[in-house]
Amino acid sequence: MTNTPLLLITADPSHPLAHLALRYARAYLKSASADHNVDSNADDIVNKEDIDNPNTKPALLNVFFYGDSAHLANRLRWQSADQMNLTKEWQILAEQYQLPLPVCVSTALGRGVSDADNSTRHQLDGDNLATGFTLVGLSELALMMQDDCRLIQF
Amino acid sequence: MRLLIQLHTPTEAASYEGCALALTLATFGHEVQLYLDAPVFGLLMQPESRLHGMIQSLDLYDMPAAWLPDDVFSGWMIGMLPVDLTSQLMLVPEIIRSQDFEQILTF
Repeated sequence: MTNTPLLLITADPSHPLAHLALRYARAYLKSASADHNVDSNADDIVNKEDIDNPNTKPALLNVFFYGDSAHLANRLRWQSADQMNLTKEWQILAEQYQLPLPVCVSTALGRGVSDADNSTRHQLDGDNLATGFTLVGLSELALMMQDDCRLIQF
Repeated sequence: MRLLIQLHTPTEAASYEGCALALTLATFGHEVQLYLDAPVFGLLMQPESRLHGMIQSLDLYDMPAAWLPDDVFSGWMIGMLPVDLTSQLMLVPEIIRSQDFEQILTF
């Protein structure tokens, strides 16, 4: 049983909630990782395999992009310099905390966001999925919710 | 997880995506209650809309009848819809306990 928060992000990148989701994730990960490091240092026995394999560590935070938030995964989405580039900010966060960025494949394809595999499968001309994001089925979200997670929609 | 999913945005994509999420989560054993707000009634009344077809199949997913606002407009709409669809709809109960749902999602 886990209380790992699950952020279901559905707001369009232009919506204030899309910015709030990023701020929440950033603040939570900063706080949770600090707590996690303190806990790890307090352990007398350290399992080296757990350190070497990040997959064995429980996720600090789960996110899932659905609906209009799929626009975030479009690497061709241009923004003027005076606006925050949410795609880039999520990529930085993902790299910093090894955070997966799953996007619902059907909502992404419906908004013109595709990876190479889906472009081939659906005979689309090119692909534009931003680095760090992955296209997954909606069942991934259902599985994330199997445990006792804290689901928050933005 | 017990969820209330409200469909409010009157677009084909948003209503479809909200309903598709509800059906998928129900398939995985989550308890999902749909609430169809008045702005999506136009889509619900179109037989070719995906929302119309998915609401018709709620019982196939072992989902309860979708709630509608308790007002005259809902009553009028129920009278306009085919029976196989109205059997999947009901007026929202007068009293809803917020603790019955762990989360409320809005589309």
